[in-house]
Amino acid sequence: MTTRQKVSWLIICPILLLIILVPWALHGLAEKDQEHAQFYNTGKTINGFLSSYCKGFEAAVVDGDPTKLTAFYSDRYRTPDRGRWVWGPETMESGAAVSHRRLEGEQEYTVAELSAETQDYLDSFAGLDRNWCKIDLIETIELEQSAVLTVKLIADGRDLAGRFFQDRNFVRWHLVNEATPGEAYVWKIVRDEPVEGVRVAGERTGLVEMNPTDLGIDFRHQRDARLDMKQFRDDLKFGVIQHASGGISAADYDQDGRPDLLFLDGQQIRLYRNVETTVEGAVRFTDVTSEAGLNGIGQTHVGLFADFDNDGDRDLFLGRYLAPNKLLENDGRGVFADVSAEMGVDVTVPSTSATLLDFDRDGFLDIYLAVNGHAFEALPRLPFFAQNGRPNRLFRNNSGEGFVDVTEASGVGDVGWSLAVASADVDGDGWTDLAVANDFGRKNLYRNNRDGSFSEIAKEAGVLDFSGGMGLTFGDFDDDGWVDMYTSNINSNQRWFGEDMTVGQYIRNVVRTRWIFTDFLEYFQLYRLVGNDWVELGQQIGEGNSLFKNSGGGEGQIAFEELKDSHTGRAGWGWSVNFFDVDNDTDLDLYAANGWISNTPGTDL
Amino acid sequence: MARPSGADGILDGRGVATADFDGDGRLDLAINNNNSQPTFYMNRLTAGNWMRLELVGDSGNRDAVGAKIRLTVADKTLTRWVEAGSGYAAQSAFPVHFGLGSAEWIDNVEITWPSGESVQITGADLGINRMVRIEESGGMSVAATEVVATESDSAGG
Repeated sequence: MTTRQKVSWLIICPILLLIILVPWALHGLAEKDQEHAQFYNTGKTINGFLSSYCKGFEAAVVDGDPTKLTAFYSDRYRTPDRGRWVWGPETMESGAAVSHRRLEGEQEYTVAELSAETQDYLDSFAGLDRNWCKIDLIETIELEQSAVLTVKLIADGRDLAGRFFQDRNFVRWHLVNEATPGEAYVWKIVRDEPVEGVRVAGERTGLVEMNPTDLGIDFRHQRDARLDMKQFRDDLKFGVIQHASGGISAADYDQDGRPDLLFLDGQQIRLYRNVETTVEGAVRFTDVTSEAGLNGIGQTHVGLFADFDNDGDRDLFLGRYLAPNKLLENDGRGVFADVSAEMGVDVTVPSTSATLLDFDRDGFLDIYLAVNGHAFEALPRLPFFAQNGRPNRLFRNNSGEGFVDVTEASGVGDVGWSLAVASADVDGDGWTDLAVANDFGRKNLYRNNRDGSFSEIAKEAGVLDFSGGMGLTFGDFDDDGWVDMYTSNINSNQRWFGEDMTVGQYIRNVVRTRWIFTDFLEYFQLYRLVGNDWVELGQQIGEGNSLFKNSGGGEGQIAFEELKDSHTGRAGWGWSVNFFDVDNDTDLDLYAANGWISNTPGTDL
Repeated sequence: MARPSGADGILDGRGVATADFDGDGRLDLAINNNNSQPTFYMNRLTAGNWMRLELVGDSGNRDAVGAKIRLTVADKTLTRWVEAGSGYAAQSAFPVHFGLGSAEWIDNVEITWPSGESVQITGADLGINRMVRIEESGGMSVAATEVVATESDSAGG
């Protein structure tokens, strides 16, 4: 067969198959809808159970009364060979006391043993500030009857020594609906298996939260009013992007040795100059937005300072959401002039993030821009592999005299709903590579071909990392000389939307709405990327942040390995992530907005 | 580690930048929160010694973005890169910060500039607990700004 014939058959075969399958599928739809309703109600009521349990936990701590928790257990509760869940010894890590829970003995547990254990646990609290209860993993579900799931129970408390602690307990629950058929659901725990428990305690004197106004910063982030979903607008399709803005820069724009601060937002960006630091550790900022010439600039997601024309001062690039991007030239005295138009960066796209790199090694910094979808034109199509975003852009810096859009020639125009980009030399060849985190999608890793073009190698490198990607950072956390990657993703307890049953429902909807025809190309691409594993994507999505170790594949190869047990995954709803050595102990630590993960010498993160 | 250290804010965090805002040798955090005021965490941890290098490019870009620094201290080689833009719409301070633990000196620093040229600097020329500005064209100077040593703070770490 000729290539052309092969391609034709590739398209015709699935379509023929669909023509046969569709009537059969439609036949089963009504029955399946009923099943899906049961599935949905099962999920909804289990979530309700968990939320009641969480309130019960609070009451149990306040009253010191274990029955407020054992009430959630069935009279039939019984766990053979369970053993008693007790605290292990305390060790000090990065200034915090860490203890792990462990199982002692093999005695069978009934409500009586559980009650005693719970009493001991409650006695370790002098107070409770907040607690959360979330589904970590759904293992099995028998509709309306039973479920096995791992829950994470997080509690912020104070201990008897007055220290602040956080407990993270993971327990596998076997739930049974004890209601008589037809009645409202009554979920009870009939068996439990502790999985992991850890307490970190400290004095809260390590990272001291300062009131920004005491430092001279009166900035308050405001959203872009155009994207306000509360004011009903017929043409606004993806208003949730309003919540995405909030970039920051801590570059020292005036090069006086003190890091300054630029805040980006929907209404008016603000620049604060760091004007005074004292030996006592005090710091004072002053608002220089106006004198720097930055008044009247809103709708901005990202701002990066760098010397784009190598004239000795730091200029400013602003990536704006559906407003012209800007390049502002520093006159050497901290006043910025708008040179966007003559420099050729004033394109209007839904910009979300950016990274600077010299991809062609000509000595001038180029700009790689993350571009989301167009909120007034589209919603992400395919929740796990949306390919209807606007392409990311690469602007080549022409010796400081102007920028040229080389997106097409370079091959880095990722059409996902991109939220974050970062650059690093992942293969150690001296040429900077690029990575992209896409919401409703995957990561892209673009390897620099050293000739102005890039090759997309995320699949080969093992970093597809399907999820709601929101942040991405590079750093060599294991000190092997190869740059590792950490990504932040949605970590959701609403796994109901990702399990097989829901994927099934999704497929039925696809059949019904004929999306399969409009999105055929995406499905085909997806199949090429993950093969038959695509049905498991639903489980992968929502797993949270991912840490990828780069072992250095050698010439011509890049191989990352995801470290699944690094305790870096459950950082909540991830946005920005940073590698940095917080305690100057030589190891890189990780800060994830809404989470904190430390690296102890000689261990994994 | 967020709660015992204090960095467990519950606002809707977006961009996070690290920089030593108060110049005490420990990296602080600034976070832009959606629809709210920002969060600042000033680092008061009992911290080890440190070294910060600000690179000035000559044949390549002036901010030396893409430069690689390998620093050898106490039989360990740490690798860091100069970068501009990562995380989520975030840019941290340019100078590359190294924690040194209890080490009192650096053995060696190797800088590979974006051009591919590399240079070796012996630790004795750098000292510790300070910011040093290194120019690709050959200059090297201890930062003109006041750099506060953290000896009293680092006694326990």
